[in-house]
Amino acid sequence: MSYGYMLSERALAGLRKMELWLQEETLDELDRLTAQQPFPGRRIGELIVRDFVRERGTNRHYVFLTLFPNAPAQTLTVSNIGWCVLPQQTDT
Amino acid sequence: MVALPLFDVVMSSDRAERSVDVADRLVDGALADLRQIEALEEGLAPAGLTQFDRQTVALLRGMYEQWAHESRSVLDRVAQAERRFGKVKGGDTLRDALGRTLAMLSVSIDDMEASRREITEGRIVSAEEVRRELRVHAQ
Repeated sequence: MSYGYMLSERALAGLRKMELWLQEETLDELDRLTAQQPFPGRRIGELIVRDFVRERGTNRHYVFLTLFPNAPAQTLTVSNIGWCVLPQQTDT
Repeated sequence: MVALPLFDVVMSSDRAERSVDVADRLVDGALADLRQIEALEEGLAPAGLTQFDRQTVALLRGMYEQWAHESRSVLDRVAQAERRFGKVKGGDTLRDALGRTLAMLSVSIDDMEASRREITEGRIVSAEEVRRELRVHAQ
């Protein structure tokens, strides 16, 4: 059964810093994530750390998510969202 | 990254095989260093949502920042080697590891601490609300 998810105010602020297309990609990624169990990602105590990469034009966008699962409520709460862009490496 | 000067010497000798080999080893070393920091972080993790050890988080963050700084230097050398001698194995993996680390470092310690407080206080927004807002902005 799929978990529901929600965002802390800080996570929402982090999401809003990104371009719209990447915000949508991030929500799609969260949809996929909540449908998987056990949740993929690195565990730091209760916290799940998950990241993903998207290519757009000549850039690679790295998105970093931290999430707290709540098994009884079947929810994941995104605590923070970070983002970084690096130029895509061209083949030599 | 103590081996960087060695790489510079090898590169100046113009020997492709040795240069690529040293670059490979630098990349492996950088990735191993990152795994070690991650293992430390996992071992020192606070037990729950309401516990946040700011001092430990700050020290770990400093290690990640130092790693990112050194990895940029390694990637500069990798780019040099790739321009002259072709692909360096693991170069793309290190670039992605750096991108992920910089994304993680884009979240401040204050934001990490504050978000935990928001969750415990119920200051959260549902996925539906976020989607709705996004649709409005997209129009």
